[in-house]
Amino acid sequence: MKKRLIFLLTCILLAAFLFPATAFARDELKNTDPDKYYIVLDTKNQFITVYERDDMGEYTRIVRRMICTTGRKEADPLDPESVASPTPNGTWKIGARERFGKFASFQGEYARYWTQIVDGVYFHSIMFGKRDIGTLKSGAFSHLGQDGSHGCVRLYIEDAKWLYYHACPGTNVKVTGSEPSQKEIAKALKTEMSFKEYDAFQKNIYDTEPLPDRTAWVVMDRAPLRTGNGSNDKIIRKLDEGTKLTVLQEGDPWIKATDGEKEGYIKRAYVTYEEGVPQSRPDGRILGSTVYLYAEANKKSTRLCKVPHDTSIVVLEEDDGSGFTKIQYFTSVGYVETRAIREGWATVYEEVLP
Amino acid sequence: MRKVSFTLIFVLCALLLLAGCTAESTSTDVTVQESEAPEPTPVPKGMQKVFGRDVTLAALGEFPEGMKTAMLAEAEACGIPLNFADTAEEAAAADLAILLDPEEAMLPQFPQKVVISADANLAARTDGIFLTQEGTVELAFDALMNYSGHEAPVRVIGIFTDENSPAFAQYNTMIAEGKLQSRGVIFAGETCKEELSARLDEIVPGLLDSIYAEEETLALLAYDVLKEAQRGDAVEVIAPVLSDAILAAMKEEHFLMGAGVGIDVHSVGIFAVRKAISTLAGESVENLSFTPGTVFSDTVYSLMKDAAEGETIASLLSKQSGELPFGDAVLYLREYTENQK
Repeated sequence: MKKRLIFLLTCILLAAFLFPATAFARDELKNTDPDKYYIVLDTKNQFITVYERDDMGEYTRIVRRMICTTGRKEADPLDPESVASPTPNGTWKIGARERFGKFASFQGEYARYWTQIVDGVYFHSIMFGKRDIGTLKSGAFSHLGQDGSHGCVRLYIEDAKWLYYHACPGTNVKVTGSEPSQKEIAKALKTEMSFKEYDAFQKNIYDTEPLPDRTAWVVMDRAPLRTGNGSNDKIIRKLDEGTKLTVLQEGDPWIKATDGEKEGYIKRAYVTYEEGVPQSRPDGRILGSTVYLYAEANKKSTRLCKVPHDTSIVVLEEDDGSGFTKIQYFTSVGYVETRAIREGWATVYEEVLP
Repeated sequence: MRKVSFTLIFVLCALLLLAGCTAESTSTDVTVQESEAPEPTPVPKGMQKVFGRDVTLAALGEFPEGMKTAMLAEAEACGIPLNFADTAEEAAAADLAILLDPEEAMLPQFPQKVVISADANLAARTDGIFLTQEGTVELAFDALMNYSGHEAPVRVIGIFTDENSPAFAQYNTMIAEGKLQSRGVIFAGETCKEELSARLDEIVPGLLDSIYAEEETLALLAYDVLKEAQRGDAVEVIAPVLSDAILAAMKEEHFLMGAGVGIDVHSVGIFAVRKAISTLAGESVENLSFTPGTVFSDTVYSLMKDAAEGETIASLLSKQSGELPFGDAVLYLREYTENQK
């Protein structure tokens, strides 16, 4: 009897360890279906079109179009320090969110309504000088409709807000530069308001009170807090095991957090949202490089989306000799090349089939 | 030892059973004298059982089509004739009259009645059914804010009866609060349709969320304009109206007629007949006040997709809104009528 009880308790504890709750946002989403919308980011025409399904299940109905500024496609020949930083092409899945974020690698640069495309590339509003809606900068406002960012996608505040609430984690966003030219539409998407008028308008945009941020605890010693969500980004400081953090963006493989003094990015696998309860393991499985998720176990099949490097993966079927492993990524199920999988610190996720 | 006990109990039980059988077999025989069977008293059924006689119902007033349909269906389900009368005299000839928004002066000629009224005082004095439109405008604007894919500021064209309408005032308040962004305002008039078409032509698909239309004719006009325009973007009409025509438009093009707000007249009709039957039967039944509610077109669409033949949108919505109260008389009459089929 005692043995059975111990076995049962072990199972419960194991289940708690293996299946942590997945959450990516504190502010309540207005849509939680990752397949409701399909977003096309047209870097050629510098605008975004959001589609929803018609009665036949095809993404044909235009819900919203938004003028934008994407990453700089070419270096500025007049500026020797300028480098090209294009928004990466491909189909990605939306990740983390933040209501009013600071650019960890720039001084005095903030933006509202961040929604992650991949790595350090986000949709967000045009910039502010402080975490204060009264500090909107005019430069980015005038520049909308032309490329020129470090890779992120700048938008009018109301458009960034729409994506923040409706493009839930797992929503597909296709970044493409091969759409036909549509200058007339791009022109029509720019507001007729002057900067002064727009500034007054944006200050008045209604939103609910933000929900409190989540707390996380560091689970490894000397965990690096970086300026960006990449292993090559500068380390701001190294955090001791047990350090309590306020989470500003919930995502994976990176979260954005602050220890009260500095804001930066730390790997999701290095923290837990439940003090004392591990939600990751050092010998888990992650992707060593950014790879395609294929519909079938061969490279000729449909490419469903790209899966970024360092992503913790949920293996559904081991490689049967085909060179592919079946995995789940958000609500998509597909195959990745087995050779891209390596051992490392990984978040352990519950298998949630669509 | 245990074996012995079981045997003992078994033997005792067997003896008891035998004793019982013996007692029965020795009971006194009774001789029944045969006589002529009397004529059986007829057992009253249906209306005769409930009311002691056959009864009729009448209805008087300008009933909306959806309410009328529901009343007739409910009366038929209970096996009671219901006549929509043209005059007060004709209605007064029935055992009970259901009166919609009656004139105070005509009430004394109806000793048995169920009053449906938007006048709270009249409804209270007559123990009638109270219908209130209060909150309709606010609910319609809530629907505009909460419609799928809308985000503040919702980009909208407003069509209003005139500058003094309460809906136009609410529209302006919400713009000031940063909840709406006006993409144009049009007032009712002969050129309303042309103005709306022209305004829509100027707006690139993807820059408009919705059209708010203050009343039924304006909502149907906007719906027609959207249908003709074939824009292919997610723009729909939202109106503080819930009529048969609005529901029919939702059924026809659920993407274009997005939401309506109003009273569920189908439920009102069912409840009025039930209350009438209970009143005639001398029962008291819980009274109801009917307030406006919002119906989104995706609800209509999904209900109609799985609907049985002959179902109307109003009846499906009414079923969805939950069971209405009824008394024993209605329960019995419905069952009896069903069994007679």
